[in-house]
Amino acid sequence: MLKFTGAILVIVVCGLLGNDIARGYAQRPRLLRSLQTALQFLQTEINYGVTPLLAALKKVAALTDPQLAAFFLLVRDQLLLSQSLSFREAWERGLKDLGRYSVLGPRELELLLPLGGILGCSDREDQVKHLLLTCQQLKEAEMRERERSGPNERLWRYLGFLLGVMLILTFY
Amino acid sequence: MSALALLDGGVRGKVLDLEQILVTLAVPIRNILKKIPRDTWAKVEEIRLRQNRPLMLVLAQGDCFLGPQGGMASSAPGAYIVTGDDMTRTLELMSGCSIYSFAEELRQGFLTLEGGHRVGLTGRVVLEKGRVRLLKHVTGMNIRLARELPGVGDKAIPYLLDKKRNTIFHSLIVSPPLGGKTTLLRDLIRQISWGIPSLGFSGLKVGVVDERSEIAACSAGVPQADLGPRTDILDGCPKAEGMMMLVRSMSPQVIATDELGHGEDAEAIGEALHAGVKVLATAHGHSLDSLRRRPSLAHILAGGIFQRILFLGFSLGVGTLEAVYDGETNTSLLANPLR
Repeated sequence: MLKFTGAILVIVVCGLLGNDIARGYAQRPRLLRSLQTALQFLQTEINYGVTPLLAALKKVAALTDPQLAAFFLLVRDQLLLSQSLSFREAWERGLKDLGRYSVLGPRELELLLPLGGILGCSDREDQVKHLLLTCQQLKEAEMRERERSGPNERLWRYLGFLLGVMLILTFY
Repeated sequence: MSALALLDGGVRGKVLDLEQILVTLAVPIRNILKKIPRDTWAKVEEIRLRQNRPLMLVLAQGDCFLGPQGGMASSAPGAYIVTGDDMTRTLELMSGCSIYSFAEELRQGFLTLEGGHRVGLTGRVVLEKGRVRLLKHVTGMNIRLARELPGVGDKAIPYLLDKKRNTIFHSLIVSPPLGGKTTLLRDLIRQISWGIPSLGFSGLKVGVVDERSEIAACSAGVPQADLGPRTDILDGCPKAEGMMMLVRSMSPQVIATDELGHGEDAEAIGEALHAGVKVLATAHGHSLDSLRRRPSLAHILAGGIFQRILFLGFSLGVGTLEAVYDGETNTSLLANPLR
């Protein structure tokens, strides 16, 4: 009975792990899409609203995916609380944090990294150019992820359970 | 009140909130300035930051370099050298990480901090069709400490009042840079707006066009300086356009503005005069001749628009009232300088 329960547990845990990885594949393109929308909104706030950056980050956070909202709010809060932190430092800390709790990988985060040295540091025209460029790069990353995510998602959804079954067959 | 709020001069009892300025400076510079004694701050007029050159303070009696420990030195060796990173960080802090939202100010070469402290900027100018489009690579900053000195206008106000009609004469305040024009203008506006019971003068409606946010030190449109209960302020608005807007919409009895100098200012003043509004303004200069040589002001002066022209100078200290002229007769109304 104990062996049977253990076997079921192994299969369930492996299945859940596989599902989790599969969910990551499915979520990444969606998050990349949301990121583009958020940056487009930021661009509008900068270009047409001439909204100061910290206020613009708050507005963007209110309209975007909760994971991205936490990132934008973290950057803003760090700058408001610290009188010595530069925007670049706050942005980099925010990205590090985003990498920990979201499905975005180092490659996607690297695309956002240069914005830390650019946002707020130049005129509107320049800001818009850089945001458009980043959006374009994110779009390409999203397309790549979409191509990869379909087969990978299905693969990991089954692979987790199969791995559990294989472990049972091997060790029991 | 902030721990860094200091008595200004210790005489007039008005405070200068240094914290407003310090939070906008890069940390190394902030730490140096925090070590400066309180009594020294009362004499500071400007803080000068120049990239790769010594950090400087400009005081009433001259300038001095600052060492890394906040000590003063009359020569450069041993002074703290301002770095490129200091300049970048300071500009970022001053603009709230939003340089793009100060494009027009940068184009004109200045920013205004909370409290009305004006920061002059120099660096690499980018041109477009022969006109300044923006300023990049900011390598020089001149932070001018704005001070509110209630009562500083007491010496000048009797010359401006037209008591018979309970109004003021069209008046122009003239001085070289750092002569105290804006400080005097601010106090005159306050007194005209509140009224002066001791002189039998009732308050008037004053419209202020504060193009550089120095007079009223507005934050989100709300004045931080006391400009009186009958004062309406157009903050950050071009002078000529602002004067016309006020005349059309706010029925002012007096229009006050800082630093006349453009051709269109003269035109707007003409419009205000014909609308029956009194004008109180300032201009850079040091004598009637120097004013007449400025093309933008020559036209106004030739027209005899200003009934009172007040000259400020330094003979008895900053803000000395050196001369008052009747603009119509060109006669002097002041026997000796006043402070």
